[in-house]
Amino acid sequence: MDEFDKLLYQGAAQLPPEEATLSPEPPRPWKAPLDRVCLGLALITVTLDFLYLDVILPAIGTVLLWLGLRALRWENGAFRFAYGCATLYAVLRFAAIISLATPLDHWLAEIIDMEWHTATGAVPFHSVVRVGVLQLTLTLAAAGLWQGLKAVFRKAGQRPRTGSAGAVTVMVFLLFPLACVGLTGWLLVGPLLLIWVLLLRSLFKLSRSLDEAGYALSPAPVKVSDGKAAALWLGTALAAVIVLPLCFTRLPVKSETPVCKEDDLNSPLRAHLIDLGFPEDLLSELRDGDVARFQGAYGVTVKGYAGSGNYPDGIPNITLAEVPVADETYGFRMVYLARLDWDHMDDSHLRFYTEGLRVQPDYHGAFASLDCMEGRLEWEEDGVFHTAPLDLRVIGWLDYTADFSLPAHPDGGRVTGWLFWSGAPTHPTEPYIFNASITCAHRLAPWVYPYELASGGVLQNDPGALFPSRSWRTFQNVFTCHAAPEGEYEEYRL
Amino acid sequence: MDHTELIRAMQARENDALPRFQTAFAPLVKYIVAPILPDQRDREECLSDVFLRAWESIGDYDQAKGTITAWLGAIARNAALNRRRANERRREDGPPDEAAPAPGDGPEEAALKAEAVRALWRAVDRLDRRERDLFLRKYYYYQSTAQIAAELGLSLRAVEGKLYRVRKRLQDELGGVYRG
Repeated sequence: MDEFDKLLYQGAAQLPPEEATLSPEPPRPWKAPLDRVCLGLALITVTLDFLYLDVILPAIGTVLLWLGLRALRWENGAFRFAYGCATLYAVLRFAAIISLATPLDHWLAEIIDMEWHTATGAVPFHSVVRVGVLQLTLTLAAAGLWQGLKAVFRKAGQRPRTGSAGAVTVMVFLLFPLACVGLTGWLLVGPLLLIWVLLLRSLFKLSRSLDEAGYALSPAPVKVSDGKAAALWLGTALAAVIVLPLCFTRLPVKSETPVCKEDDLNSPLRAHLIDLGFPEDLLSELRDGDVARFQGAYGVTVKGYAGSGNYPDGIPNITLAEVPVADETYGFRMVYLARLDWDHMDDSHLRFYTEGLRVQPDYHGAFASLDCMEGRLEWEEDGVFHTAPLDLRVIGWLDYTADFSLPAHPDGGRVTGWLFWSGAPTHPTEPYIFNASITCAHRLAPWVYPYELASGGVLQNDPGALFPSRSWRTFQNVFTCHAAPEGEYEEYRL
Repeated sequence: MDHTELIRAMQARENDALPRFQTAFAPLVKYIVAPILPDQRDREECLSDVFLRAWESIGDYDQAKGTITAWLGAIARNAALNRRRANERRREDGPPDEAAPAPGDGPEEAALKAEAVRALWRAVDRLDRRERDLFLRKYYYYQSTAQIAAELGLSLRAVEGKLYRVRKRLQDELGGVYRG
């Protein structure tokens, strides 16, 4: 203690003079930790689904909860338990936030392939497990806090007044089953939210009601200041969320270099298709196996041929060929071919982005059954022909989606996609008009959070949605199709 | 928590008022006394002193002038400081309490010391809220740096740094008053 220190002690020992506006209210050692715990719980549980607030607020809340319980951890065993749970919760919560920047959820959904059905729709089973573990950990932390507060009252020789902390614990526990049911609408969520706000208010009251009992509480010393610890948690998560999406901008291209046998360009079937009006240059690009799908053809309609559409950047030009073929079982079948041309794309478009397709072959119940849709990409790289299958997945009744990345360095920036499907008619004896559509999605930005494939997000939304996606460009091609038995098709389609 | 009823019972000298008052406020008094009196026996004796003084002077307490915790906190702190000064006077090697008017101080010295104290509190009043809180914890409540660090969620080094800045600022503001 130097001379000035001594003088300060001596000066401060005198009561403040009248003109000083100081109010030497004794410090309250419990206030900051409990306020942080309460605010943390509030931010964790009340989420707002815009401007990333559904991620930011719970992240801040998690850190506040952890900081609050860190300060209390030496006081008693219950607080130590709560602190352990809060640490585990913080690790799990931040792991979840960071994993949302990666395709981990999509991989897990593929591996586990189970869904939980709520009132608002199906959710992947692994997401339910994750939320359950998080909620259980949070409940245990709240229970530890409750018991720890009781112990503080007992230490102070007072009767515990911790009813609201107990009620918060019960509410945190109840939130998980309520979330699993999938409550919707203000009639159900409104009262729940009201109860929750009242309980948090009680917890804030409790932090004040500790008052004199709270003086029995001794916060634990820390090696890293609260501010630095919070910055470490949030900074690490922020850095991961900024960097990781840039590492997963593309999907792997399963490139093959097939050794194709020479196609018979003068086969009778090809000649027949040309007679029916199939464009010769389009036909010449098809392999014999593709052409065989049109065996028994009695008509051809081609739509969108020769780049008639004005497609935005990153969206392919689409040509649709409709070919009715005779079928022994159903009388006739409708066979479709769609060619997608990505042309003259500069490298940056191809290298960084992912694409998405959604094919809806039948809006109006024209098909009684649909054959499995197939597709592939074709391109040349350094003069070598490459092909890659499109992984088409069925969603809903007859819709198919695919997520893929275009090859990084195709010659001339040109990639061709082929889609094939066929359907048996619902009314084999009657002509029928129906709509089909192909929706293409092109990712516009290298950084997207949370990680999203077109099939999981933008392709499931209404293309005319009020708020269009800033991360994806979508373009929907709707085609009017005709199904008619032999002899009626040509007449009917006109 | 509202202590109005308890204060009224104390002021009305009701039989069970003092035990209830002690149960409610013992943690506060212990919290204030502990950093000032390192000896456990001193603390216990001081605790009894504080509640006795509170019982005697509760009639003077006016809720409009401040909270019961501030009122009782001031009693506890003063009682603890008096005991500490008495202990120090008994131990000849302890630092003398120069702030209290010494028996030998003339009116001029006493006036100078009072002015110095006034200047210090004016300077403390000009500190920002956090700096003032640090000053009060350290020099008014005698809390150790470790206790301050734990209660504020700061590392020891951080508290030492902040205290250094508070002292520097006060030193600059007080100038000659505290440089003699």
